[in-house]
Amino acid sequence: MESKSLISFAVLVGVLTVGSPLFAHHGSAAYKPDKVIVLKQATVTRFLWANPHAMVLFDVKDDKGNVSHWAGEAGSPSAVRLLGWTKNSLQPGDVITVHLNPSKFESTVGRLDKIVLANGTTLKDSPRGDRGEVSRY
Amino acid sequence: MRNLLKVCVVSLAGALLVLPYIYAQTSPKPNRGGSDTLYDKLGDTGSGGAAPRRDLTGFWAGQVAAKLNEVAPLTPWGQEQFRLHKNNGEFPVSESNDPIKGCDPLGFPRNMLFMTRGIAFAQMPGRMLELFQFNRVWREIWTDGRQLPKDVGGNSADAPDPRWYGYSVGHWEGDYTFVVDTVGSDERSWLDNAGHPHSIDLRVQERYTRVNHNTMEVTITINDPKTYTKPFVITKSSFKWIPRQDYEEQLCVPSEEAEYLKLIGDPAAHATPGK
Repeated sequence: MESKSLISFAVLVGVLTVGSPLFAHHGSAAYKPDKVIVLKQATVTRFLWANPHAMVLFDVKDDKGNVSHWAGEAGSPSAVRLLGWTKNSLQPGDVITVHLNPSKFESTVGRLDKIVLANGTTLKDSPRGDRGEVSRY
Repeated sequence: MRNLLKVCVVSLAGALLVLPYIYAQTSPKPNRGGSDTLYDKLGDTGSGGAAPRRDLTGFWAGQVAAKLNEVAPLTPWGQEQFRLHKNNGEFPVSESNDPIKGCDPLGFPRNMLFMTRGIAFAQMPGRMLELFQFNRVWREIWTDGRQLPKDVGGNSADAPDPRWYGYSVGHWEGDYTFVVDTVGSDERSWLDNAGHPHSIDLRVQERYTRVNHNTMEVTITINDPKTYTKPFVITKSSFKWIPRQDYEEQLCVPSEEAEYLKLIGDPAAHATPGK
C-alpha cells in the first residue's frame, strides 16, 4: 500500500514537473519565453494604454492574504487592438486571470501571454518579432 | 527501507509545497500569436489584377519584422562594434543599449527590417516619399536624376551630416521595379535587432517589385566593406495591399517609454523583495 502511495505520489510529482521550461536562447531577455504561469483572481489596479507598450498592473493575494503587486507588459496598442483590445478593456477593480511569461529574475513582472476577463473574454498578446523572439512591440 | 521511503515522500512533499501557488500551470510556448498581424489577417488577397505601370502609391501591410538572412562575416572593426551592442534578445531591457530603448529612431535600413507592419508610398514629381506607420517617419527618395551625396560625415566644409534615414535616390528598372540606393545612414542606428552594426560607408540597395496590384516584394542588399567582408542580401520580404488604405498610429512615446522602464523594464531584471 505504501509502495502504491509512493508511486502515485511520484507520478504526481512527475506530472507537475514535466512541463518545466527548457530555457530558449531567444526571447525577451528578462523573461522565460517557454514558460507561462497563471495568476488567478488578479485584481487590476491600473491599465496603461501606452506606446510602445500597453501595461497592466494588478494585485494577487495568496492563501494567507498577502498581496503581491504585479506588472505585465503587452504589445503596442495598435498591435493588440487587432486582437480585440481597446483602451477600455480593463478597469481598476476588474478581477481577471493572467497568463504570462515570468521574469527570470524572480520579480513580479512578466510578458503577458493572455488575459481572461471575468466574462470569459480572452485578450491575447501580440506576436513575436523577427528571429523568433518575443517582440517588445 | 520504510524510513527511506518516508524521507523521500516528505522531501518530495516539501519540494511541492515550496512551489509558488501561482504556478498553477506551466506549458511550453513555442510561439505566441503569429497570425494576428494585419498582414496575416488579410490572408490570401489574390492578385487584384495586373500591377499598374510604375506605381507603388498606396498603403502596404508587412510582417512585424522581415525574415532576415544571416549577415556576412564581420570585419575586425565590425566585430568590435558588434561586441559593444547589447540587444534586447540577450540582455534584459534594463541592461540593453539598443538605441530604440529610449525611443531613438530605428534609422535606415533597420526600419525596413523591423516594425514593418505598415508602409506607404506617395509619388510626387521628382521624388518618392516612403511613409512608415511606426513613429510616422518618412523617407524622401529623389527621382530627379540627382546623384547621391559624397563624403557624408566627412570633415570637409561641404560634407553632409549623417542622417538616421540616410540619403536616397531611386529609379525605375522596367515598369514594375523601383530601385532605391541609399548612403549616409547614421552609425548610431543598428542594422537589426541583434545589434549588427554598420558604418557611415554603408550603401543599401532596395529593389521594390510590384508583382501585381496586391503584392509588392522588396529585396534589400547591404554593402558595407568597413563592417562586412562582402555584400549580402539581408532580406527578401513581401507586402500586401491594404484594402482600406489606412493604417494604425504606432509610436514610441518617450514619456510612456520612460514609464515602461520604471514599471516593467527595470523591475523585470531584479528580484522583487519577498517574492
